Amino acid sequence: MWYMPYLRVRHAVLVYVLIAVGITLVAIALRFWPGSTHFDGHETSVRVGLSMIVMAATALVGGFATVLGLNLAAENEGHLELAWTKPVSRERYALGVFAVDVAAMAACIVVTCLCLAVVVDVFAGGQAVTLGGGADALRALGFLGFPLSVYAWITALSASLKRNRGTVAGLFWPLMLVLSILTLLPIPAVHAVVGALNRLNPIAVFLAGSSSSQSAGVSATITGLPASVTSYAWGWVVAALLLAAALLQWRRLEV
Amino acid sequence: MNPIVIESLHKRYGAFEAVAGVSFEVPAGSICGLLGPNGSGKSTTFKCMLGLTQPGAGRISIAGGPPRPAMFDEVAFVPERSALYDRFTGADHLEMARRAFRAFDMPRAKALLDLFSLDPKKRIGKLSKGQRTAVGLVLAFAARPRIMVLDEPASGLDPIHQRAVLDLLIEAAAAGCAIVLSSHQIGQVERAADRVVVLKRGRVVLEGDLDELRGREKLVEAVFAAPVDDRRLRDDARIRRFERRGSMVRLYVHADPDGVMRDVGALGPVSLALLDQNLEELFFSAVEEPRPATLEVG
Repeated sequence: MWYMPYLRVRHAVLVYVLIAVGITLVAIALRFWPGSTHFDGHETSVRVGLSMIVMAATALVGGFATVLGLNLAAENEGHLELAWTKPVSRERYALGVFAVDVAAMAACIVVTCLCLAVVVDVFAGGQAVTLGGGADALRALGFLGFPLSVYAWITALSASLKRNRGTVAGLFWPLMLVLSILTLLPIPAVHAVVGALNRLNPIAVFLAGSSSSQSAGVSATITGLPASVTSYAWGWVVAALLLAAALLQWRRLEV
Repeated sequence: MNPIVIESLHKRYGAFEAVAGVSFEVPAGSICGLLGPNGSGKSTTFKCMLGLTQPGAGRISIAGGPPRPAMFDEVAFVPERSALYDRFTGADHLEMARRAFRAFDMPRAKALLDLFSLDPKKRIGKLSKGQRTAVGLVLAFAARPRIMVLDEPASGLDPIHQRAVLDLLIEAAAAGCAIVLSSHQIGQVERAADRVVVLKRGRVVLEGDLDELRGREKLVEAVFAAPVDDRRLRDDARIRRFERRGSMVRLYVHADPDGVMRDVGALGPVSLALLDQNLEELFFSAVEEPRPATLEVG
């Protein structure tokens, strides 16, 4: 149940890690290049909270999640006779794919966080990354839902597609970015519609939610919690519902 | 109860009725050939049997119950079109199967790879059509199933490996496996199968034990040196079909073949033979549109 999804993501994770480490090494080399400038963390008080590192990492892994989100649909392109003739239910099979993909995203987030922390420390002169307090940790935890939300959207939109799954991935980001940008337009009618749509938009819910913008997510007055926490919780709920929808589509497929 | 039981199976795709009331059974240790022209419903029947598609109506019992995931510890399937992953190697597929199937026999899988001259380190995408079919067969036979469903199992294989597949099928059946296979190569099915089911437009048009079917109708072939008066034979109720091609007369006899032999012998042929029908003859008789009872060529 795990092995095939593992084989599928192994190569993708390896490529991602190599790119991340490569960019980090280039950044370090630039820092020590003769004539380069840098901030000194002690002198300039440059401090970057853990949640900022995690936010940047999850934004990058969001792109990777777009690729992983097509994995279930890839089975539907000529492999169902193999996938469905194993002594495992369709639900368990799909959950296995989800679990391996989520683990791959988690691994990529860890690697990206480490790379970003190294780059920040090198440029800011050391000890620039701070762990912050409980609120910072809570925000960092909330951001982890962003790639999951992207993954869930792509999976739900493509789970029953045979072909054209690349189109789903290709259109997803431009559409979500446009929706996020439209909230900035000072037109009340557009604002109302876009605001409603943005409650399902991972970019609006997670990244814009980090600024505690009310337009980004669910009103904090509903729960009494900080706006960012409510937005993140909502984002996790939407992701879970989308994965359930993907599972339902997968169950109903026919060869 | 037989390992494979299909009763009144129906499957419709929109207005098209792909399978219309198909019924057959395959006992343990038997090889059943499922034959039919393209679009006759063979692959759809297989998909319904394995739960890959939902039948419209009918009853399916595989390994003692309806199609369900757990049965695949005992059931192996080789689809007509390879479902293997192009990016992965043969060895990756074997490892997947080893982890998925309780009875998967890795040493046997390796022996079968040798039999089909396959390199397990090669990616599936680099293999020929026949080699992909062979990898599918290795996975199926190495799982040591009690039931095998094979859709065109020799597709793309060279004659040597086709023969190897038939030997493996016969060996598996001898060990008690119930096998149902489809193939357009009727000669292969005739070599391996002991039962046949012939489909035409989603319906069973011929079904039964192959030896019994062969014996049900006999062929009388006679060659004459000169034209003879054969009018009596053309109107004979024991003869279903009369064919004359030049000096050769072929009679499809469904009753009293010895009596027909005597009557034809009385006409003084230079050669006379009483033959069993082969599977090809049975197949064409079953699927071809009704032919006129008399054919004269030359």
